[in-house]
Amino acid sequence: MLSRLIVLLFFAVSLTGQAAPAAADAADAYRQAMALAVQGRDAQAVAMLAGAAETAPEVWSERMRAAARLLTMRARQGIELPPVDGLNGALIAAYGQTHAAPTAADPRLAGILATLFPGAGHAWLGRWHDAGVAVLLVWPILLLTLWAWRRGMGPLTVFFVLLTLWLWSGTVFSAVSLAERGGFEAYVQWWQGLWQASGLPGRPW
Amino acid sequence: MVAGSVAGIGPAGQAMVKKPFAGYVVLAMFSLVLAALLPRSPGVVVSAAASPLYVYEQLLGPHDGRSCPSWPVCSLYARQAFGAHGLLIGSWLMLDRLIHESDDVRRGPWVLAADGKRLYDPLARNDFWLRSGASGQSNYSTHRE
Repeated sequence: MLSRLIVLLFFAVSLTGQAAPAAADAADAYRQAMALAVQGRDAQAVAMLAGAAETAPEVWSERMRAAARLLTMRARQGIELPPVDGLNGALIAAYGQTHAAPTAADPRLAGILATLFPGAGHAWLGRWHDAGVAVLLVWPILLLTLWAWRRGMGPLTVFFVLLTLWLWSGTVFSAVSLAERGGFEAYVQWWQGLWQASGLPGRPW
Repeated sequence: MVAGSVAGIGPAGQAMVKKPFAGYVVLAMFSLVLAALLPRSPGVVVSAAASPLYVYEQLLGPHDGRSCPSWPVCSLYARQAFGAHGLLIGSWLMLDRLIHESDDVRRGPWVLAADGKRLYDPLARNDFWLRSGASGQSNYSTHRE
């Protein structure tokens, strides 16, 4: 009887001893994948998670699949919530119901407005102080250029024309850049909220 | 008098017309001499594009106080932009920084620098979209507070 008990105890200890390293390996692989994602290497992180999910214990496998889908979504800047099973999937769906994906301002429209009227692109983006600076940058030099043109000032007119073109194109560039940046940052904040709501451990940023 | 030129009397009494470009040539020569006389750190190569920045950093900046509220400071940002994107796009990025500071100082994000709170506005925050396919791979974080 005692020998059977000892054998049973031996098997129990062996099994727990095997289970613990498997979970530790999975957690370690997950941490490494998060470290890759923090560096912006999303594709490698997704590949690592997909590979590790095949051999990881069930809980970690579920987490890894969810994390891989969310990272893939971020890399594509997708707004459709990925199909994820289990508790993480339910949490993701709940977040999606209460937090609509952000709609980005069209950079082309901002650029067109800034081209037609310096400062209009920034104003359309709701950046009124920036619009004021853009107006102050372009309009005085533009008026000076027209004045020099009417006075027939030769090389000085050419200089003012080039300066105006540079400043005007700079404000167009700025409007496009701010539209791109605003859309990207709004998406990143929404996505980070999605990640935190999903209940996944760690954070890939 | 011919428009755009300067008329005068020469030593022999003949009418003399100076070309308007002569003044520009003198100005350019004077600028070159001034640039050659500027203090230079050993091993530092000041390119033509960055020389106005160099003049600002060496001559004007120390007397200008803390005029730039951002991190990195505007002259360093402009230097990085020139280095990464060349003269034209670099100068546009520099203008963009000067323009968008006005609203950004009211919104953040902020970072604690050695000399106090500064607006966190690295080049990667503004030029990520210029690098094709890099937007999704950007490791720029919006949470810096």
